[in-house]
Amino acid sequence: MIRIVVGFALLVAATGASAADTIDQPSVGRALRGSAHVSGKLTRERGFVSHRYRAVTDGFVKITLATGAKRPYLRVLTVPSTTRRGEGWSTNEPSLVVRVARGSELELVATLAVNITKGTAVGEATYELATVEMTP
Amino acid sequence: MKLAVVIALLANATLAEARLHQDGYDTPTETHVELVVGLWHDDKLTPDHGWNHYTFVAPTSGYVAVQMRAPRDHATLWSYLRVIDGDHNWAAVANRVTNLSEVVVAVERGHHYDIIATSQRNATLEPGERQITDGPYTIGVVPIALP
Repeated sequence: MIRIVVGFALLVAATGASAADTIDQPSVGRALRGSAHVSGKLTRERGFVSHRYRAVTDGFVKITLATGAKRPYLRVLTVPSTTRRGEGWSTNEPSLVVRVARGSELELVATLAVNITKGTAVGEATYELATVEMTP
Repeated sequence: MKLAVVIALLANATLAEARLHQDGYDTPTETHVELVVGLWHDDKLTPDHGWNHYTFVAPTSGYVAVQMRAPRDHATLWSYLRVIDGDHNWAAVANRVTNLSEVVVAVERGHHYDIIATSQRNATLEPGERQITDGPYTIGVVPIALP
């Protein structure tokens, strides 16, 4: 079983570009706004990719990470604001649902479960990250 | 060789936990409480019992929010939730402003889910390190109508 840990210390590092590509210091990918999607490739050099998402409606967002043949691992962190600070989620499932308010931002980190197990990027796969906003 | 080292480290961690008389990630405390939609359950975390295990059987299919709330600005209890379905895991650490953590999952009627409440502090301990989280919290399952 994959140990799932979301840490406060990790929140600071998610946004910055860094030479070291890790779960705590991911590469930076294209931003998403509202319901949108992006695709790319996870490699040994770029195995953890962060995409900033900005909500355009109040409600929930379903974040789906699909990877070619490899089990995904998704980490989501809030971008600190006056009302939200320090929140984080992670899963070894393809999707995650998070409550959002219009204008709030999240960092979505896409990687593979095997990269979490090994602690470094070892797997390669294409990925597609999608956000679908849902209103109750 | 590497595997042997990992096994040895895990064994040491388990022994250390036993010596410390504390539960842990792989050995949570069984509360024997089944969470019911709409009913809140008050509980506490202590240094010996820092990982409380609950069960939940979904009465209907659909989305639910599993929520854990602890006092704001608590010194050692920063809410941390895990929802487990076999080898599928969802985890959430709380909003620092509200100390409310929430995991939203799509559940199936009659299906059994494991829920574990702990604190971020306990979740990031080094092997053998003593748990210090000590405080009250409330946990519950709330239905959410989503398309």
